Amino acid sequence: MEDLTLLQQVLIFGGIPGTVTLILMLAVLAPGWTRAGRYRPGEPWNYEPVLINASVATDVQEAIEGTATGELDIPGTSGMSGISSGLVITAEGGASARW
Amino acid sequence: MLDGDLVDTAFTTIQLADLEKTLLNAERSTGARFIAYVGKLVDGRDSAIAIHRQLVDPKRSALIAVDPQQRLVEVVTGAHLREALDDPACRLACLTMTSRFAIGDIAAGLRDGVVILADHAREIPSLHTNLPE
Repeated sequence: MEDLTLLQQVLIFGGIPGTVTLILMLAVLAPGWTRAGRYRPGEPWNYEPVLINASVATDVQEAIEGTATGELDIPGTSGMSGISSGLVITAEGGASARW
Repeated sequence: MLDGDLVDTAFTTIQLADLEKTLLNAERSTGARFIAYVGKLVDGRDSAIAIHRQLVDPKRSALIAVDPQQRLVEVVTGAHLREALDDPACRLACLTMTSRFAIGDIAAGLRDGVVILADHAREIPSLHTNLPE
């Protein structure tokens, strides 16, 4: 078997592993590029408010816009933020959480 | 509508359809209405309650409101529904949702939360035969 030239050595020992590495990198990273628009924690949330499964015959849009600007004045809720340190009993139940 | 350069929605059509299906399934199994909201909640829980009160049938509705900007999730249950779906169950749902939200998966978190709420809600008794309030 005749000796390999320098160019052949570089192509075989550098080119082939390099190509394999490149293909693997593309296979791993490419799906992420197509999902570039996906939300990641800590990024600003600049999307339209969305209400899923609500009937259209409500004034929810008004409430959404009101909550977005902080100008909502619905009886029973306007005074609540002022006495948040005390015990506030509302008819509604539920829970809150932060992450 | 709000801040000028808002883009349409954060969710894909498939995610929205999936969420809607989950919410409808929850309605069918419990008799309550389940609604999800993703957007700003400037006044925190007060904002969520304000939206909840604007729903068609607030007393029998559960609102899951998420504000990704503030990293806040609020579950609001109506006065009637509260008897069938108690606050500890809502806290459990919140906990499950936040673990998903923390990795940025808002849609999946909402879906898991709705499933947990529906699992824990007892069926609301029909009040047709009762006297109106």
